[in-house]
Amino acid sequence: MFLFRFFRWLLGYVRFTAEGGFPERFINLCTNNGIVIWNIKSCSGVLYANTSINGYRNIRPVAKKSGMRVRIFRRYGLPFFLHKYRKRVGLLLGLAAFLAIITLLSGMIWNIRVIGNEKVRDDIIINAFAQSGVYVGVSKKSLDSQQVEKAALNKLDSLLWVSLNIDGCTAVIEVREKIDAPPVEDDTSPSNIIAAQAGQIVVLEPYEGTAVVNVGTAVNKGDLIIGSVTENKDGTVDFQHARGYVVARIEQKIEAKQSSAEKSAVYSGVRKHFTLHFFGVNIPIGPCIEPKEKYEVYDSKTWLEIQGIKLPLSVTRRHFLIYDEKDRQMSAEQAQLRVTESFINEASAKLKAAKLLNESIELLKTDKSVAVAGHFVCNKNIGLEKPLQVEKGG
Amino acid sequence: MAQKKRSRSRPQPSYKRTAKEKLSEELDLPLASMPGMPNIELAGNRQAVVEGCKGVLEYNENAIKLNLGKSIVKFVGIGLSMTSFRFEQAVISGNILSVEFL
Repeated sequence: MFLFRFFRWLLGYVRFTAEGGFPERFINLCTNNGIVIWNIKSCSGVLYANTSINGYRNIRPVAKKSGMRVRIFRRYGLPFFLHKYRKRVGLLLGLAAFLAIITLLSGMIWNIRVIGNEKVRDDIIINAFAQSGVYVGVSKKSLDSQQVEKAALNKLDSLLWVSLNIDGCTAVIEVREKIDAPPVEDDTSPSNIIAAQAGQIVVLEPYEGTAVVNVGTAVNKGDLIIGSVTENKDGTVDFQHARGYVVARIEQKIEAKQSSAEKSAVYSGVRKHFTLHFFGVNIPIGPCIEPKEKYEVYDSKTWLEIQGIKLPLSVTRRHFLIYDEKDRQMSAEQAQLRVTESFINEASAKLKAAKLLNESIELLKTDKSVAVAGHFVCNKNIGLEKPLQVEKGG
Repeated sequence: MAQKKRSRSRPQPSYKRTAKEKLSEELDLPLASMPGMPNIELAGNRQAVVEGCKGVLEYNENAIKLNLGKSIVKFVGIGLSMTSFRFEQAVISGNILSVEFL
C-alpha cells in the first residue's frame, strides 16, 4: 500500500471538488471513460475525489455531460513540488551539489577498522596499510585489495595473514597473528659447565661430561666445573654437551643507597594545541608554538562517533606539560622507605632459588643519605652452560 | 406393508433458481466463483467490497446504491464514501447501518 501511495505521489495527483448535477452519473462516466478516481466522498452535496494529472485533464467533458462543475481542491506529488520551485536555481544547484558530494564522498574510505589482533597494535597495522595505499580519504576504485594485502603483509612480520574488505566507506582489516614456535634447546653441541659465581661446592652431580672439581673445592667465577671432554678407554676423546647439578655455598653482598635530596619535576602549566582532521585534511587551529621552558608532550585523539562508527572528523590535542626541575628534600621516613624498596627488589632478584644459611642486614643513616647493606650466605645453583669454542685450523 | 417412498430430490426453494446456481450446486463449487456473479464482502460494518458492480445509481454520504446487473444493492449508513471504483470493483467505507437488495 505504501508503494502504491509512493508511486501516486511520484506521478502526482489532484483532489478536486464536483458540485451540482448528478454525482452518480459523473462517477459512472469517469469509470467508463477510463478516468481513475478514488477516495470519493460526498459532503453536503459536494463530491470530493482524487484523480491523476492526466485524469483531471480528461475530466472536463465528463463533468459537462453530468452537469457538474469541477474545481481543483489541492495538488499533491512530486511534479507539483518541482513546478513550484522551478525558478529557484539555487535550490536546484544545491540539490545537484548535494548529489555530487554524496556520490564523490561515498566512493572514498573514511574509516579503517582492524580486527583479529591481540599483540600487534592497531596503529602499527594501520601505518603499514597506509604505506601500502589504504588510508583515510583514498578512492575505493583505486584500491587493489590483493596487491595491498601482499604489500602490507611484507611490512608486518608478526602477522601470518591479512585480509582487506571494503564495507561501505569502511576498510575492515582482518588479521591473524603468528604464533612463535617454542625454542628448541641445542643439547648436541659440545659445551662446558662453569661457575656463575664464586663459592664452595657442596653438591656436584654430573649427568654428562667429566667433573673437574670435587665437593668442597672453592671455585671462582668462570672456573670450569664439568668439562665436555670425555676420555675413552682406547685413549680417544669425545666432546659432549655437559649437563649436571652444581650447588655452591656463596656469599652475596647487596647494597642500596638513597640520597635525601633528589631532583623532581614541578609542573607549572599546560599548553594545548588543537588540530582538526576533516575528511583526510589536517587543519591546525592556531599556530603550534613550542614552550621555551622544559616540557613533556603527549597527544590525544578524539573521533566523532555515531553508534560506535567513527566518522571522518577527529580532533588531536597536543598537550605541552611545562615543568621545572627542582631539588626536593625527602623526609627520613620517605628516604628509608625508598631505599628499603630498592633493596628488596635487588635481593629478590639476586637470591632467587637460593637457600639462605645466614644473613645480616644493616641500616646506615647519614644527614644526606640512607643506605641498607645486606650480607647473605646461601646455597645456590651456580652451574652455567658455556658452549665450547672450536677454532678451525688449517 | 409398503414403506413410504422417500423423495430422492432435494428440497426446492420457493424462488426460481438461476442456471448458475444450479450448476454450482451440481459441481459442488462456491457460487461466488461463477462468472458474472456479484460478490459482496463485509469487514464488520466499516467496509464493503463489491465485485461485479456495473455502475452507481445513487451517491451521497448516507446512501450508496449500486447496480449489480440483475439486482441492485443499497448501503445505508453514516459518512459513506467510495474509496475505490475500478474494474467493476467498488470499495465502500464508512459506518454501514444496513445492506438492502432491491
